[in-house]
Amino acid sequence: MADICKEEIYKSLYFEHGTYLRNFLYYKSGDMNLAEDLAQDAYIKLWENCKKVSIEKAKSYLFTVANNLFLNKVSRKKVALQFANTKPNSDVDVSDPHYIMQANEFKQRLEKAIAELPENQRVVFLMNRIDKKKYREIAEELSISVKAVEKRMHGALASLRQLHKNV
Amino acid sequence: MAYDENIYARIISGELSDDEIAQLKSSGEWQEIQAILQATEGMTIAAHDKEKGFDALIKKRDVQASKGNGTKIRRLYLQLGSAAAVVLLLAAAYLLLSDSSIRTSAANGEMAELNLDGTIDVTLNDGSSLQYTETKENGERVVKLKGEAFFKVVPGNKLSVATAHGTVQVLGTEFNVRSWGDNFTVDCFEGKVAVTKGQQRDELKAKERMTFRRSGKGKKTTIADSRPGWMNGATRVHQESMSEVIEELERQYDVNIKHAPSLKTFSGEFVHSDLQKALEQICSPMGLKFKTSAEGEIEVYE
Repeated sequence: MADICKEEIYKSLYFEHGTYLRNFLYYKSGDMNLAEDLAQDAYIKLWENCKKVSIEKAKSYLFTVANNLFLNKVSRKKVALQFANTKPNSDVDVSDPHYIMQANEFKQRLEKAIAELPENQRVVFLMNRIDKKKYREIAEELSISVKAVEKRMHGALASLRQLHKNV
Repeated sequence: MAYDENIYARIISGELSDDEIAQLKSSGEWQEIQAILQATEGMTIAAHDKEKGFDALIKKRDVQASKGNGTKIRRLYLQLGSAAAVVLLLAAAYLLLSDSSIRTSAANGEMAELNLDGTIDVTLNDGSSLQYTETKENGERVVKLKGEAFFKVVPGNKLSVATAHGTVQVLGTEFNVRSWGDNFTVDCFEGKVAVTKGQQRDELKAKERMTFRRSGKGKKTTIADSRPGWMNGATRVHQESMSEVIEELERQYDVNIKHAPSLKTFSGEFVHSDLQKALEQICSPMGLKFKTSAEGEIEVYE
């Protein structure tokens, strides 16, 4: 039971979930420093309670603690997310400058629209798109049902689809 | 649009019927959602260096622990896994000191001196701490030591020193107790002391040393000095692991030293007044090198 108290297991838990926990907090807050800070604090909490938490529960423990830390700390404000290295689609003709301009413009508007999504929808959407997580995994981490994840994802896509309407 | 619920979400999970797909395509929604999915396909955020992240986490964790929520002490015991029985045995002695106790510590790179009852002089080596009650309890003086200290007791007075490894009892004497990591060493300079570790009890006469390693029985040797080396501005060690020697050096100078784990043991001495010289004293006989970076980081390497 007290396995997490072993430094090498604790470390492997960090290597397994640390990035995703940080990303999760970033999707929520749009503040990378805060995300890294709170992710560290969640791991410190895990260490302090290493005797009480089983390895199987470690992941959802981390996400729950991180979520609580976030709720305690943050007065909600508008988030501005920074995305990096968005790869070009491989199946498009990159030699057409008009197309590239359009695609870039679309991407910019899309990124802005993602930042403006309700927090719940944004987090689910980015956990799927960036961290490539399945709905089942997201549900487990957020302690909600798969149905609830689908609902948030659907909501996110429905809002983002409006981008096509007001070009 | 009377679709089944969450239909857009099910485009991603691929759980749509042919009918549903056809319907979405004819309304143009399929293409619009696909465009969003494509545009976000290669999306990433700032990269995360896990090695660095973990180092930063541990640093923060240990700083918080040293601010006194007991985590650091717990860690020490965890490292002593094999000595669990000893820790249990000592629990009784520790409990005696539980509430009204006072703690004196010597910061890294410093020593601390104190006198108990006018009959016991204690010199604490750096990074060590001593816990004790204000007055004797039942005529017995019990102190709890973490680290290393030299004791001088006026003849006729009793003293018990409890450590994580074992207890040392005396009747008027001068002796040094070193209890760091896996290492438990008692030097008797004058008089007589009794060392108890687990079931084993040994008596030391003047100029005798008892050394315990990770496991197994203690080894008795003789010493020539009349004071522990660290009280004369140097640390002298006998067949201690490189990591323990480097930890001692870190405590002495209050620095962090990067080094690869090593099974080699070191016997010798290093001074307390000059870090450069101390590093040379340790590294040159071991065939090791060391360097100091511009940021003041010290690294010992092969």
